[in-house]
Amino acid sequence: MKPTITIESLRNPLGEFLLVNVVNGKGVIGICDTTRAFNTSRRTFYVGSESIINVFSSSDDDSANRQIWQCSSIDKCKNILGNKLKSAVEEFFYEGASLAKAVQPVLELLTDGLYVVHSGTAFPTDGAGNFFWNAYLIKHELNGSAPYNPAICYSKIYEPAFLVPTRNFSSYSEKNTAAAAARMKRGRRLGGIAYHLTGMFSALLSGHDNAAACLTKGEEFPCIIIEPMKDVLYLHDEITDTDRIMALSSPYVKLPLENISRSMIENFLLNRRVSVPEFHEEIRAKADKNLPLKGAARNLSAAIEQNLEKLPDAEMLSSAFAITELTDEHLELLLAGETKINDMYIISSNYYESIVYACNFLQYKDRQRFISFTTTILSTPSLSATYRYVAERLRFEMDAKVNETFKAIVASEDPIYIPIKELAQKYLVRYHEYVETSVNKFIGADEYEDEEFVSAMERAASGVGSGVQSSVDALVRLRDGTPVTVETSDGEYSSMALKKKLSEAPPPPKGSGDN
Amino acid sequence: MAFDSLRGERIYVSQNAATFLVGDYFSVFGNESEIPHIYEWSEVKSYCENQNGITIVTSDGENYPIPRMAFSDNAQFIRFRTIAEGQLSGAKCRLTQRILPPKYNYSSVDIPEQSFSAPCVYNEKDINSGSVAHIQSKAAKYIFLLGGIIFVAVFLALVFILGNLDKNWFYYLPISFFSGIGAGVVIFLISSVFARLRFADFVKHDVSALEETIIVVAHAGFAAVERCVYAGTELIPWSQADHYFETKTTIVITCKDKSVCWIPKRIFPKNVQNDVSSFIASRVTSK
Repeated sequence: MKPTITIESLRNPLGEFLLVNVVNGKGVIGICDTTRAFNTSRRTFYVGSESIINVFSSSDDDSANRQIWQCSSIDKCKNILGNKLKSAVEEFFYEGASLAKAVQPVLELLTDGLYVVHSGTAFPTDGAGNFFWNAYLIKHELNGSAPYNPAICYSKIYEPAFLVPTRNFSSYSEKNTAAAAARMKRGRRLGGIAYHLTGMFSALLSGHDNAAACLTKGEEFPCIIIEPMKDVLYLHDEITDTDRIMALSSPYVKLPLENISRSMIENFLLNRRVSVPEFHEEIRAKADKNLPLKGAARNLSAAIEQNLEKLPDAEMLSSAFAITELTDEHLELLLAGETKINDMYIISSNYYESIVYACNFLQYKDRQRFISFTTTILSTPSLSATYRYVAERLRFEMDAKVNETFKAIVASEDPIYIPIKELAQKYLVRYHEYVETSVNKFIGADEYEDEEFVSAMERAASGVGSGVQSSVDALVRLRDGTPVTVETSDGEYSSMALKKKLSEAPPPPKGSGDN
Repeated sequence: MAFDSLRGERIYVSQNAATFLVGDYFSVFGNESEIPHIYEWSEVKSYCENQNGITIVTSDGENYPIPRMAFSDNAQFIRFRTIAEGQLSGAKCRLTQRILPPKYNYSSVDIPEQSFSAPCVYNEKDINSGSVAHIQSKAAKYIFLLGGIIFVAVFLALVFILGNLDKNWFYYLPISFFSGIGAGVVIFLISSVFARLRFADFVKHDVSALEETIIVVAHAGFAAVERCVYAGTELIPWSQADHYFETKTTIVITCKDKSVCWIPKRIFPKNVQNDVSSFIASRVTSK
């Protein structure tokens, strides 16, 4: 029978989305049960007869993180998928087709049920700062992979933005990434399409090279995400004055039953969480295998390594979705040891949990406030219990204020700083290297592709200044005062010399420091 | 949880114009304009099956009767109750006499290829043979006890009625002894007659009695499941088995919830029958 796809376009606070009802779907893409042992659960994301990704849990606990690993490549399914995934991405992101029109051929490949389709920013990492493409070769537990996130809770919406690859890492090549980057440079909008697996993780079906290119260039990676709607939400029923199931739920959408047609609700209820594909036995057997590591041990480009640090991790993202607003007044109260404002909890009843969530939220939403908040925490002895966590979160933030704070910690004799002294020392070394590299790269002007730096160089060359002084001025504008190095007499670069130059340099004109 | 991969079932009950759906949730639809009642299975307080149909009581006090005649055929009824029982615990279920173990005993697991598996349609001989052995195993100690009581009672009765214990004890003792044995034999014969009626009882009360069943004996557990709901991933773990006994034609495994799994030997090739018996013997204690 021919697949019947019904699509409704709706909107929620995160943006527009499609509610899709699939009846008589081809069942080529889906999640099935491949459990091997009692009291465990292994769900396998499959395409055709190929097991692509396994999601394993050793308990029924919805708040327990899952183990995720790749077991095959979607490249083996070209005969089934054809060009449908790539076409959907190109039509939507490049040709400007509507989301419904672009994804229609892909939706026909799904198993029966209710789906939510939306487009948003995805992060090509494993939620712990590792590049996504080679992060799932070995079975391991991933933070943020639990179906229920205690920070976000049931009622809040979030984007399952961390990606799990479906292509083998051996197909990663810098040449392909560079080609995708070149397309992007020519004005082509790159993107991908993904299928939600569990928690904050989605399987990237197409657009691996695009994701790598976006990361190389430090750009956001837009992605269409297909979420199977499998959960329900309890709300208060005023008629019966009880809490009962009143809405259907997926990470991105909480949809009240009264807003959904009866046929859609019935389709949701009749189709189970796991499907039984045509090649179930074959899929089950293939799910036991691991993805061959042959040809996968390659280094990533330096740009990817560097830009990965700028992407949020699972904790940051969950705090960002959990907290709606955090004003300066809230932060001041938190620093004063309060958890409530006007008899309402600012974040949580637990004080240290509130501090942790606040740090994560700010790190994702507002870097400067994050640095200011965390450095204040590190100078407040009563919050010493959070020092380790805060220092861990700060260690990738290359900032002069953080550098000064860690310098003070290293110099301090106070025993409360002992647990983080080693971390602080490592940061200082890393910060020094960062500064050296940044300035060497900038002043050397070898081959820059970073447009901001290139334009800054152009500004410097066009008479804003000359030589080291102009470079310093440009850098000051770009980096908002971050210490850098300048050329010394023997041709080497020294951060000390640059600091001296910087202190002598006139302040940058207002408005020219935007980067 | 078991039988998670079965597609949900939809039953319309014309008497109260309600539609019932079972799947990952139990839900009830009234008229078109009403918001449906959707319950998680943990919110189902009791599930009762009888000759007239199924009654589900939810934690909000609602009572949902689903008459037997609302189901289009036996297969739909079996699928409906399999999904429901697969999601519920035994404590919540009150079931009629079943030829197969209830589905709440099952867990989802992998069944390796080297397991013993065969299709089967039960016949009277399989069940009767096993049933007699079952009665024997269950009632043997009580029959023995009853024989002993009758022996003592007859002996005392003879002493009280006829007297002269010193002279007549030589007669009283064998009379009492054989009375006890006789009573035991009679009780055993009566229970065997009832046991032989068991298959007819199953056929009368359980829609699964004449359905084709898949029997599985594997390392992780055993199963006897109707073919119409068999997905090849459900087993009763051996830890759920209480004991087993074997007759010439049937192996019977009793579960801790007192339900019984009948395994007719004839479904396996002759050269495998002994292997199946010894495999079960290695997993469950005999009685």
